[in-house]
Amino acid sequence: MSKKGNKFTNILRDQSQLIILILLIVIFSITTPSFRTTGNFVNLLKQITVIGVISCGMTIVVITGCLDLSVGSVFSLLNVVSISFQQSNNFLGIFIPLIMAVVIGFLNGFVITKFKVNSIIATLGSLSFYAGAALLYTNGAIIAGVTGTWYGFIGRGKLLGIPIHVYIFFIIAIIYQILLNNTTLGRKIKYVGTNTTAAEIAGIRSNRIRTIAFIISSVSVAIAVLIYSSRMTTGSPVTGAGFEFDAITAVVIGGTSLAGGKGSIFKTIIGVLLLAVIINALTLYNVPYAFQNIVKGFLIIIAIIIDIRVRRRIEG
Amino acid sequence: MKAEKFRNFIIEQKILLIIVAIGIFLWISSDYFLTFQNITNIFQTISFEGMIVIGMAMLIIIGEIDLSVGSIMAFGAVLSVMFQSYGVFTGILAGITGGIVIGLMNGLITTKLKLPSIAVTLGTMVFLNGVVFALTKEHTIKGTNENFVLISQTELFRIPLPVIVFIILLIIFEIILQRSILGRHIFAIGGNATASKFFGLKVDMVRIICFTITGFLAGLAGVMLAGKLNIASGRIGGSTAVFVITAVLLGGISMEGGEGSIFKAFQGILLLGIMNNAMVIMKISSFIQEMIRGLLLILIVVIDAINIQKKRYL
Amino acid sequence: MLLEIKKVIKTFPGTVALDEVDFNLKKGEIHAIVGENGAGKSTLMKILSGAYKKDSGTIKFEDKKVAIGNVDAARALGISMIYQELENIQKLSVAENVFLGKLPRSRVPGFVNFKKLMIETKKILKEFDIDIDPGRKLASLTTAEQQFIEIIKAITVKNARIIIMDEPTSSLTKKEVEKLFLIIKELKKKGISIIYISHRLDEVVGIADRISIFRDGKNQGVMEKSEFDTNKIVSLMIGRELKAAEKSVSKEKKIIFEIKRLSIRNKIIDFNMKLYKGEILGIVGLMGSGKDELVKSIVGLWPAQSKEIYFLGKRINIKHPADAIKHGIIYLPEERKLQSLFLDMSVSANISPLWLFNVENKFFMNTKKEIELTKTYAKRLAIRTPSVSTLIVYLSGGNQQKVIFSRMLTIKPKLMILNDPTRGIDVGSKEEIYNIIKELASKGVSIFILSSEIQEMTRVANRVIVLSKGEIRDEFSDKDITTKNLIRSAMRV
Repeated sequence: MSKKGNKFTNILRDQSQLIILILLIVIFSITTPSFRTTGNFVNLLKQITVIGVISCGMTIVVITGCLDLSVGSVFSLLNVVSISFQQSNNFLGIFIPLIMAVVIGFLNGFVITKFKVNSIIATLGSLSFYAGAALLYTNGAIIAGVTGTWYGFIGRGKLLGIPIHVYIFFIIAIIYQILLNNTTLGRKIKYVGTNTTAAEIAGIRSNRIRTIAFIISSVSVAIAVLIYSSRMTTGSPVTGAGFEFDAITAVVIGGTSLAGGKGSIFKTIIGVLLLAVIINALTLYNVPYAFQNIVKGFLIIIAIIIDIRVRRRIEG
Repeated sequence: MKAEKFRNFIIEQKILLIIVAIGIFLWISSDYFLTFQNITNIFQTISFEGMIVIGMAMLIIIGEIDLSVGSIMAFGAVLSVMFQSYGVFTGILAGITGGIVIGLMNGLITTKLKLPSIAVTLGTMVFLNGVVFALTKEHTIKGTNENFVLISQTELFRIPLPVIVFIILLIIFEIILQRSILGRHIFAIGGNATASKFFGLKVDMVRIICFTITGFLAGLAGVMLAGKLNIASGRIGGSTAVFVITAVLLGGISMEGGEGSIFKAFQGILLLGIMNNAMVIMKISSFIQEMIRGLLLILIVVIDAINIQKKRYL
Repeated sequence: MLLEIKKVIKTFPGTVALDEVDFNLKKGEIHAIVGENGAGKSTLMKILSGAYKKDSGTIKFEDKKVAIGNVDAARALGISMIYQELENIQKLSVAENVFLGKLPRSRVPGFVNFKKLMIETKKILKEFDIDIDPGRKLASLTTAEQQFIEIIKAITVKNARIIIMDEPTSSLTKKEVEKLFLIIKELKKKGISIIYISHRLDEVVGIADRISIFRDGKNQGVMEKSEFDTNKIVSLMIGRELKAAEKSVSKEKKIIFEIKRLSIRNKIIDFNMKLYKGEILGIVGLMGSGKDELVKSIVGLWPAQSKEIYFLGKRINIKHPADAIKHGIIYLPEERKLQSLFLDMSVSANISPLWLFNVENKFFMNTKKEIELTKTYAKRLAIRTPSVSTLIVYLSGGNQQKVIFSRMLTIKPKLMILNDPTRGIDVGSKEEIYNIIKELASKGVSIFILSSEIQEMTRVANRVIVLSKGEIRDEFSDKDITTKNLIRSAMRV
């Protein structure tokens, strides 16, 4: 039995998000003059780098069949830690958040895999824990950094008119995509997400793979913090609140399945761009900020409904 | 034989004993603890989210979950503030109706489209949060009807109305859960949905009812919360989901589903309430409190998972 | 005649499950059906209970033609089936399980009359002399007791007429079996008919009024109680006796693998086994024999209370399949879709996992090499697929299994543990797989094979162990491997 179907419709279905993105860009460009200025496009790209990097890390976790809701709080924590070192030792300001990220990712992964706990609930607990930790670190205040760190060029520099951090985002995305498609680790991640039992029987230690995925997610947050803190002079302990939902929205509407196994960084970038374009259009139409969450929540639900593989098996 | 029975009793009632133990500790360390005022305060604090714990317990028993309860609570609060200009009763009705509608929506999407409730309610949470912020224009809104505070500030025998409502709801829903057909079906479906459907139980209908009840309770909690100071904002309910789920698990109800009781859920939230009280008396910062809340959820869900695993290879 | 089934046909893609089957059942009769796996017993019962629809043929119930379109229709006729995997609610009480869906109402609308519930349950339990407190949680009962409750549940249906029991005694002790038979006799007294499916000839002969013997989708004959003859039954079950086929046995008798003192709680008692290089060792056993848990525990997929594994004389520690793979021991699970296949991935992604992580073992993947590998094995095992990048879900069962075989072969295993390798596969592919197995053995690979089809063993095995209730009952070699010997031993005849 061969269900190849029409090759064209297959491609259409597979790349539907890209097509929607292109369509939206075209529509908005035509209807809203302020949309199609270069300034707007560059602005758009600038906004997506932080969430974009976090979403790349989230993609890896989702492909293994889990979710990491702690990324927002971890961002808050690593951000204030990074900025707190701006005044003294810049190098530590990069190094320590990175180390912390590895430990945090490991802890998340360890608890979830060793005790076979639902990742959403476990990372919900982490979310509270690290959110409180961020507040504790700054004692609830906004801390001051300095202007002109040696790595400030990441946040503020430009190359050929495009900010450096946009390049960094794309480089990170490419690295992750290569990791996913062209390395044995990436292949193991896909196997674990597609069929954990079969992966175990094939000798893959799925617990280790999932833990690595969570570490990648937290490290992505650290990189995002680097991009962010490099252009900030103050740090708020609640900056990252809500980032986890932005990341999940981007991943899910980009087409990566919550059921695990299928997905790509490329799809997530499309998702990030889609989200950004929609939010951008809403802003240009003077839609209040509050409505953005409505749209995001709506998009999450729609994306889940469309993702057939998430559907429960029918009972009876 | 007697030692065995004693040991079983300790294990069965471990949460109650922990509550008593903490109570004794606080009684010794603080004069203030065992006063009527303080005890009432504890109950007053837990009664709002406590109402939601009732619904969440039923959902977890039937094998579902609702992450949007915090947003529903905020929604109910905001609606009651907005509509109270038409009368106190209208305000209450608006908040409760909002909760019922969202709960119904959660139930319908989950059952009819056969989607995992955790994912759907995640989306609802974000969506509803946006709605609340939009309705309040990101401010804290204040109610115009000064009679509205009566619903939370009235006292009966010096006990605030929210506490009385909470306790009445506890009793009503425990009776429903343990002795009504709906309640027994909730346990049956949570224990084995396939077998239940096979023997004619209306699985989808019961699930939808549970989501709707939870929505109703969350909306009601929001209304009564708004009644405290007659204000509401989108910042309400941010940590409610974590708090409520922790309470249910802490009380000894397993994520696996199929067993539990409202009384157990009550023990869970009472324990959380006393722990909060202890942390306040010990002057622990609210930041650390939030960290402890997160840690507690992780701890309790790990313990539950270990128990489930133990049974698997029998 | 309560039930008359005539010339029923049921086919699935690739197989004919029921080939013009006849069967009838009298009122108040205990009618047993025996037959090998795949003979059609389960399929016919599934049709009777409404789970499947027949392709053609007639079913008459009380002399009226009926069409059992779904489960509810079967239940309306009073037909209940008790499955091997009990469909009950462990966390609820006995009483609530018995009255699932029909809880007695109290005067207050919407509420349960618990008093009545307990009294009614106690009443029924007493009728069958079952001494269990109805308030107990079902999970606290033994498997046997849970089964009894399942039967009670089946007859509380308003007009219970037929109860179908599928392998009811596979996990029961001798005493529990006696109790079960008392219950069945009580049912008979009440005028309820029983269809009793079992492999345990000794038990069947003791309880049945009539026995139908199924083979190859047909009812080969019905025996009355007075004519019961186990030898005749076995002959009808296996048809022409299959003798061991010619197999090459390797000249060197080198022990490559040994298991000592393997014990699994409630399943296996002190299992010991030696395996030679190039030998094909089979294990047969009925449900409840423990063979499944046995092989799983060897590769670390099931916990064992004690386990000693020796490879080439040296003791090795296997806690996870990865450990086993390091020593060249590979396991093939019995359910491909759930446990072997990566359904959303391509054929080459399904062939390569073991090779990628154990042979090639580099950080960066060489997709070209992977494709080459796939093409090599596709040719070698004659795997029919449109291309190497086709999703494996589109391949037939036989080809899918060959892909999994290729996966194992890519790392040149020393020992292959195959759990029911030809399950759900068409006849042609089965032959191909037998040939693959024999060729591997001749090249020095040792093979440990489990099967639910007795005749497979005659085709491929050099030696066969018969497992029964957790212990080794018999061992047969070479010429003694015949379907007759194996079945008689497995059924404890």
